[in-house]
Amino acid sequence: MKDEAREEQAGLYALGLLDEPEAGQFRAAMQRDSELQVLVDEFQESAAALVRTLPRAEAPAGVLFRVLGENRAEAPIAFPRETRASSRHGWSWALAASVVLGLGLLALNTVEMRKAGSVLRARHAADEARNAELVAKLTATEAQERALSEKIDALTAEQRRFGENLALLETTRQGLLAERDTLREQVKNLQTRDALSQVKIATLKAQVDAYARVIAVAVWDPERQSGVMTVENLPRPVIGKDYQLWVIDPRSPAPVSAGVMPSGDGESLRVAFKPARHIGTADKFAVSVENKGGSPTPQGPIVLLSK
Amino acid sequence: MSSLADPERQVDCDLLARAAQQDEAAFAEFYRRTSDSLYALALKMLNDPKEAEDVLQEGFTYMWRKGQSYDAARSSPFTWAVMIVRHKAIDRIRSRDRRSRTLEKASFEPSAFVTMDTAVPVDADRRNEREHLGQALAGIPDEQKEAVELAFFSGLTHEQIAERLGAPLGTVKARIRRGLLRLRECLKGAA
Repeated sequence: MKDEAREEQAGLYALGLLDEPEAGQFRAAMQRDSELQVLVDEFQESAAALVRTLPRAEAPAGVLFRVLGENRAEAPIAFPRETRASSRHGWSWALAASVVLGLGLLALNTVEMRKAGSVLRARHAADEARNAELVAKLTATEAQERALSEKIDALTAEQRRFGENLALLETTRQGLLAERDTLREQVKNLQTRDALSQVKIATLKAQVDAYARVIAVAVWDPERQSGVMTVENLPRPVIGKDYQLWVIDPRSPAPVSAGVMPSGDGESLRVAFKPARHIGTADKFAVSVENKGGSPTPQGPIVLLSK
Repeated sequence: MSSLADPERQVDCDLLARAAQQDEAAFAEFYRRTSDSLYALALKMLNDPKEAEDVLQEGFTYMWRKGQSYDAARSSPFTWAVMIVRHKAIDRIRSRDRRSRTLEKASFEPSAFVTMDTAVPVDADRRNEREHLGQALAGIPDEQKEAVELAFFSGLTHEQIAERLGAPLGTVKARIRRGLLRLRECLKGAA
């Protein structure tokens, strides 16, 4: 029973199944009892054989390479303590050791190294391909950048030229606007002058003796199609009659009425008039005596007429 | 079970002795002779190729640096290497806080070590060794094989193994003990 318990503990210890306090106690027991150590070793040897029964699996390439590489990378560098002469010795020794190490490495003609070499070559080829691809992309990008820079320069120059032209055009525009205003002013003045030149002033003369003392002057502005007549010494019209002003246009078949004149009181009279229709040329002005309220066409006698 | 007189064991011992003196060529040869089996072990325990590769690297790094700690009187170099890699794999499993997930991931295939993989070509010596092992293991009762297998490959504690097998803890301990004893006898007989 005691042996079984010891074997049980040995088995669990060999397989790492004891917790730390139990394992500590068992280690102490093993120090006292060498047979226990042997039993543990045999159990481990037996259990390790089970690994041989596992389905075969090929170890990944590169592990050995990394293990040895890691070791080399972490190996401390020994600095010589002796003089320069002994340093030379040291270097010679190091060189010799390196040669031996190199030869040793060369001797690693194993499947592992071949696998690692082929993996590295494949990676190197992939890296080179990737590198070439990146260089090509970089070259293309640089060319695009150059082309874009040239376009930007050209557009900037064009923008500058446009700016200059725009300023010039603005100056020109301002000059033209000023010139336009000047011309407008001149046109206005000319039109005013022309209008004045076109104003017709006509003196009406009596056509019957009873109106011999009458003085009548008509001023006609063809632009505005209106006029003013001043009359002096015009007798009052008889009851039931009115004076009516007419504008005679050669292109009109009949005189055009310019309205009934207000009743005069024998004194000075100023009458503004505007014909009923458009007057092309105011050839003559006339005043007739018409029935009260006027007539569309002259019916009564004409008492005043311009030349 | 390999004895001190086993020539293969002697080769491995010589290689390890030279590797302990930082002989890279000797270490590389030892790697070539053992790495596939040790990787299979890590893969069996972790069920993850990347993690198995990491554990393999950690194990061989330890062997390269601590080669002088190998004691030829106590175990074969192969057993020494197996225990190092197994220990690294268990460390990895147990260091994870998400233990249950890890253990689920390391899905266990019962009786894997008694089912010989004959589909993959192996060298003649290895094939003979496996055949002998197969014959030796055939005489071990299934419940003992299962208990030893779980104990060795799963990284579970004995309580967890009992829970997994649905058997009392004492029964599981007894099965492991008996299984190891029978295994030791079978291997001695096979040798």
